[in-house]
Amino acid sequence: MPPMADGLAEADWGDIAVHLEHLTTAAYPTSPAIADDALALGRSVAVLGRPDRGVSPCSRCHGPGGIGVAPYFPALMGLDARYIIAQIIAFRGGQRRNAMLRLMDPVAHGLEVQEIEAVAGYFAKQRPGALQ
Amino acid sequence: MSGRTKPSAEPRRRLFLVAAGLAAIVLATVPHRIAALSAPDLAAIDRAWSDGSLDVEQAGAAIAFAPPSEADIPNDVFGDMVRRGIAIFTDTRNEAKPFAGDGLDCSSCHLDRGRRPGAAPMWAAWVRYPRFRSKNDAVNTMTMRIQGCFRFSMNGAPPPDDSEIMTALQTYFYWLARGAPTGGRLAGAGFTRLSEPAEAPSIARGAAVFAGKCAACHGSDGQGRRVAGADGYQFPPLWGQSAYNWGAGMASVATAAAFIRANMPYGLRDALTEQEAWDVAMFVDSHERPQDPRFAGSLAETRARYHDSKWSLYGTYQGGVRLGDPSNYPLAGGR
Repeated sequence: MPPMADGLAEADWGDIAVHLEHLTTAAYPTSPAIADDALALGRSVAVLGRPDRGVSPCSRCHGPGGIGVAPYFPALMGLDARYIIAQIIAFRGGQRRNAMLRLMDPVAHGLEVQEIEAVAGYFAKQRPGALQ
Repeated sequence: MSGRTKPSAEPRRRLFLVAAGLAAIVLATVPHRIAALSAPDLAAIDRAWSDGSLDVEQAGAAIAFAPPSEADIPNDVFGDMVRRGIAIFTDTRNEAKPFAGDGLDCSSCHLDRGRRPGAAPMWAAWVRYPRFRSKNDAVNTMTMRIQGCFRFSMNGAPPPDDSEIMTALQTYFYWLARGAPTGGRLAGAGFTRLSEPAEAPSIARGAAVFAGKCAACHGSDGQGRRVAGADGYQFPPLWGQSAYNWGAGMASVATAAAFIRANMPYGLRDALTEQEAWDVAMFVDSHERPQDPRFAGSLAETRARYHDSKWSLYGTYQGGVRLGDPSNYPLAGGR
């Protein structure tokens, strides 16, 4: 959270609090289904990375299955795949620049499109204590 | 936070004494070649250990080599042993529990599961053993080398020569190196030695580098970071009771600087200058850590024998603490 909080103006805090206060609970949207071969590709990116393209394994910093490593490496486990894809694209395009030491830049630039989709799908499927 | 407690250290020591006693009896009664199978020769490991990660002969052109993909590990008994080796290599603390004594795994230094060029990859090491080393004036096997890692970098105990751990690790290394020329000097082997620093390394400058570029992962106190609920470190401790001991290669500022320059911060390339790498290595290795298991009875004697180098701070005073003083930490690991 520190990088997120650092990027906010004080006025944002109140706005976010008001927003959260008025949210109603709803079922969490389910991520699109992922085929077995895409899951395997995603797992391979998450665990092995693509060192020849400068891509570190996601789990090296975000923990096994993307469980998160406080305070700087947010959990990826169980996030909506579409959200993860959007973030990687944003890192790649430079719209998002708040990663610690900009560690996400080489990752976002080194991945191929189907790897981004696969690794997002992989993390969306992970649950604590039940890595797939 | 002092890391994992070591309740099993005393029983383990007793076990070793019993084992040593048995070995002595066996030695007296059966042919030597049978008895020699399992007990690690600590004296030989001690003499052989040095800045070995830098000990890569520089003669001749480097040969390009890439290890095979893990997707190609065969689905047979051999492949199962390769996978067992990977499990031990990446989660040494848990998978080799009786022998791993600190917060490090093999893959803490041999990055990307021992595959990464410039981080002492195992495919390059495999083809360089057995080798003669002037350090102990003897031929050293890969087994001895691995035992040294357990004893010093992992502040633990050397797995026996014929143990499943030793078999699994060496099966993994062999598989990684399949097709590499035996005895070949492969590009990316070891850690690439840096030339002498332009300015003498500064602990103060190193502290600033550490705070800016290392502390996020290793902690501002250098004690690493754990995953909640997991028995292991996500980022390894760099000093203190759970880090590599004074006998480890990484306790040499030159080795640490070479490793850091090539590989840190993990995930970035060329993020530190050579001078920054020297400075931060000096800072890291100016902290207290577990005793050198070769401790010779006195700091002066141990320094003279094993740390007679400007790149070791062992036995020096840092911030009022004399590094390596036996009263700082009990000799708990490095058996």
